[in-house]
Amino acid sequence: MPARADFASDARVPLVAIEGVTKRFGSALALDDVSLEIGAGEFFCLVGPSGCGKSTLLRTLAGFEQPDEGRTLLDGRDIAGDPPERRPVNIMFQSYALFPHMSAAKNVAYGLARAGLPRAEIAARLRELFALVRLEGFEDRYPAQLSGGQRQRVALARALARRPRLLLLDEPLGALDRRLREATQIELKGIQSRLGTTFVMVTHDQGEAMALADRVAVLDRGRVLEVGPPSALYRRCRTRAVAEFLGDVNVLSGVVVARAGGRAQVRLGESGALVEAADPDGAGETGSNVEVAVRPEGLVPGDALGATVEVATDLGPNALVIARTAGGATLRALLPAPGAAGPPPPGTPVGFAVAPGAAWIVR
Amino acid sequence: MNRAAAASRVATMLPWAWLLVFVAAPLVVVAKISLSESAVAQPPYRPRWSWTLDPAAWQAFADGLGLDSYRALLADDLYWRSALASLAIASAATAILVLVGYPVALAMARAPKRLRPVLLAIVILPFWTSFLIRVYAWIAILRPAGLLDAALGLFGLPPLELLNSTPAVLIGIVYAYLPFMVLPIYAVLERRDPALLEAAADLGAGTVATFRTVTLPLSRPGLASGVLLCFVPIFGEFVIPDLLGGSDTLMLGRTLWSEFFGNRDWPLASAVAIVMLLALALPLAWLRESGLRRGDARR
Amino acid sequence: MRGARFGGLDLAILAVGLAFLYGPMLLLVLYSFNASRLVTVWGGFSTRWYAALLANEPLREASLVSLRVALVSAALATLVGTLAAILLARPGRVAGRRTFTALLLAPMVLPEVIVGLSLLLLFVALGFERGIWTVTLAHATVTTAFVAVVVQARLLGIERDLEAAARDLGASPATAFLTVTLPLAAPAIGAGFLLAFTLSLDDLVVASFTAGPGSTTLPMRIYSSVRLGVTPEINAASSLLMGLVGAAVLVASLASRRRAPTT
Repeated sequence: MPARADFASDARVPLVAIEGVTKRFGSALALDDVSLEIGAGEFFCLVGPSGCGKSTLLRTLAGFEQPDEGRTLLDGRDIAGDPPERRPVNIMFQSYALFPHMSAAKNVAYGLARAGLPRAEIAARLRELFALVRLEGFEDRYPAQLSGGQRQRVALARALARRPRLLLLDEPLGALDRRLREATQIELKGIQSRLGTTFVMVTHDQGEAMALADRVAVLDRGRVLEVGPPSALYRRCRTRAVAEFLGDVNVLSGVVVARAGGRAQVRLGESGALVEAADPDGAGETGSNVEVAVRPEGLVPGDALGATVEVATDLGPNALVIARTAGGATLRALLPAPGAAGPPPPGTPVGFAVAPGAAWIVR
Repeated sequence: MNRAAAASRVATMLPWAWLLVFVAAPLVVVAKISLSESAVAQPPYRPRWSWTLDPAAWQAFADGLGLDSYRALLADDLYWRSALASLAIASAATAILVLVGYPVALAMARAPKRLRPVLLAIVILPFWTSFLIRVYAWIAILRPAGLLDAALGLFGLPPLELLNSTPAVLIGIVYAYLPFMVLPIYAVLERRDPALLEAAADLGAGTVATFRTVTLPLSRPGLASGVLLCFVPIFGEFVIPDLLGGSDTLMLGRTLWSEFFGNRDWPLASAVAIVMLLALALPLAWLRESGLRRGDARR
Repeated sequence: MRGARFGGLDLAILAVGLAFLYGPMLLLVLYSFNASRLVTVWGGFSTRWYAALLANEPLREASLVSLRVALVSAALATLVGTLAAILLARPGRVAGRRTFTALLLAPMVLPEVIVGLSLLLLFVALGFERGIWTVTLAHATVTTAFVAVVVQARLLGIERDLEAAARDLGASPATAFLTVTLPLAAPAIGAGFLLAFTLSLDDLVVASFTAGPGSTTLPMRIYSSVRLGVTPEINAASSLLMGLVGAAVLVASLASRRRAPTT
C-alpha cells in the first residue's frame, strides 16, 4: 500500500477537480487555496475540527457559495457560474431540511417534479427509492411524524432521487444516537457501492471517516493538511496534527541513528532504546532530531520504555493503560484483555516495546 | 429568469414606495404645515402646497413658513400642562401595568404546560375585540349611579363617582393595555429553563432570592418591551381620556384632536404632533434598536 | 422547591387578572339583554335592543362601510406587509434596512393621532377627495406594520436550509419561494390578514381624521353615540361585534390547529 495517495489509483479524468479555491467571509478565511481531486465512484470524506472549512467546501460544490479565487470543475467543466438548481449535484443537509408541509413521498418527489418527469415515472422512482432506504409504508407520513432515523432516510432518498453525479452529505449521521449511527454507516456504504454514485461526506468524527471513506482529506483552518486512504493516513501520515486528529497517538522524540530504504533507526531521547520507524518522506536524516508516532495499539509489553501505571481501564476486548515515564511523558497503550484479575492498579511498573512496523516519523 | 428578476425587483420596490408615500411623506407634510400660518380657508392653512419647480414659487412658499404655531405652543400653558399630564399619566399607568402585568405573566409561565396555550389565548382574545367597546364598557361601570357605585352601595359604602376623572382614565388604560404588558413578559418567562430555578434553589437561594437573582434579570428584555409597547401609545392616547376623563384630564392626544376638530387650527395641531414625535423619538429609537438586535439574535 | 411550583397564589392571580379582563365585557353583554333602558336596573331578559339595532339605518350603513374598508385595507396590508417581511427576513446586508424598519414600524408605534393627522394632511396636499378610499389607504398603512411583524416572525422561524434544499433539487429561486417558503408562511399571512381586518374594523382615531362625509365607519358612529352616554342599543351592537370577533378567532385557531402536524 502506498504511504500517500493524492489521486485515485485509476488514471481517468477526476469527476471533481477543485483548483486553488479560496473563500473569505469578511476578513475570515474559510477556504485557503484548497486543491482536491475526487474520482468517479469514490466515497470521499472531508474531516476536520469544527470551523475548519469543510462545510463551506461542500456548499461551494453545491453552488450555495461562490469561491473568491480558484475553480471547481465537474467532469472537466468549470461550474462556477451554475446556480444550485442547474448542477448535477445534490446535497443532504445536516438538519435534513425536509419540507415540513410535505409528506415523505412529496419530499422525495420534489426534485423529480422539478425535472418535469411524467407522473408514472415519478411513482416508479418513488417505489424504488423508498425500497432503497427501506421506508416502504411511510410514504404518506409527514416529517414531524417520523423518527430521527426515518427522517435521515427520507433526506437521503430525496437527495438521491435526481440521480446526481455527485452526492454531498453534510454530517449525515450527526443527529443519530451512537447505536443507530453504526448501523446506518454500514447501510450508507452499501447504498453507495450499489449505486456507484460519488459521495463527498463532511464529518467531524474521524471514526466515521475511517469506517466509510475510500479517501479522506483532513482540513484545518481552511487548508487541506493531507489526503489519502484512511488506513494509510491513520498509520503513516506526514504531520503530527493529522496523526492527532485521526485518533489517540503517542509522540516520542528521538534522534535518527541510521537509515535504510524507507526506514530509520531512532534512538529515543528518554530511554535511549532503539526503535525502527517508517520514514516514507525521508524526513529524518541521520543525526537529526525527529518525532516518532505510535498508536496505542502499537505499544506491546516489552522493555524499551519503562513507565508507571496512572490509570488502567478495562474496555472489554482490551485494556487501555495510561502510564507515565520517569521523564514525565504520558504513554497510552492498548493491551490485550486483562482477564478476570482486572487491569493493573495505579502505581504498577510496566514496560512497553514498539510493535514491528507500528512507528513512523511525523513532522 | 428575466421575468423572475423583474418580479423580484417589483417585490422590493413596492414596500419601499408604499412606506415612502404613506409614512415618510405624511410626516414631512406635518412638519411643513406646522410651520405654516393658519387661515380661514379650505384647507385652513397658508401657504398652500405648490408642486411646481419654479424657484420663485418655492421662495414664496419658504417665505410663508414661520414658527408662529410653536410660539403659540410655548405661550399658552395649556400645552405645557397637557404635555406634563400625558407624561405623568403614561408613567403612572405604565408603572401600574408592570405591577399588575408581571404577576399575571409569571403565574401564566408557572402554569402547567398544557394549560399555557389556553391561558395565552384568553389573554390575547380581548386584544382582538374592539378597543372602543372595551373602554365603553367601563362607562357603565364607573359612571355616577353606575355598576361600581351600585355594588359599593350593597356594602353600605359611599359612591365614588369615578367617571370623568383621572383615576377613571388610569383604570381604563390599565384595562386596555394589560395584554400588551403581559405578553412580552410571558414570552420571555415561558422560554426560561426550569432547571435554572432548580439550580438556584440547589445553590441555596430561597423563593425571593431566586426571583431577584434569576427570574427578574432574565425577564428584563420582556419587561423593557412591555414598558415601551405601553408607554408610547398611552402617551398619545385619545379615546380613553376622551371617554373616561373629565374636562380637566388633559392629554396631548386629546389636545391635538380638539385643535384639529374643534378649533380647526391645522398648523397648531401639526406643531403638537411634531412636539409629541420629538418627545417619543428617544424611546422609539431605543425600541427599534432592541427589536433589531432581537431579530438578529434569532437568525 | 415550593417557589417553583404552580400554586394557590398563582391561581388567585390568574383568576383576578382574567376577571379584570373579562368582567367588563361580560357585564356589557349581560346588560345588552336588559329589558330596562336604565343601565343599572335589571328589568328582565329581552332581545329588544337587538331588534332596535336591526332597524337602525345609520348603524347598518356604518357597518357596511366598516366591512368594506376592513376587507380592502386588510388585503392591501397583507400584500405590502408580506413583501416587507420577506425583504426584512432576507439574510445579510440589505441597503437601507434600518430606514426601512423604522418606516415600517412607525405607524404601529406612533400615537394614532399623529398617524391620522399626518395621513389626512397628505391626502389634502395631494388633493384627494376624502372618503372611503382615504380611510382604506390609511388603515392599510397602519396595519401593514402588524402584518409585517407577524409574517417576519414566521419567516425567521423557517429553517434557512429549506429554500436551499429546494434550489438544490432543481427549483429556481421563484419556484423555491412559491413551493416552500410561501406555504410555510401561509398561516402567518392568514393571521396577519385577520389582525389587519380586526384592527381596521376597530379603529376610531385614524378613520376620524381621514373619513369624508359619506364614509362614517362603525366605530365613528358608536363613538358619537357613546359620547352622549350609555345606551342599550350600543350594548347590543358591541356584544354582537365581540361575538363575531370571538367566533372568527376561534375558527381561525381551530383551523390552524388542524394543520398542526404539518408545521
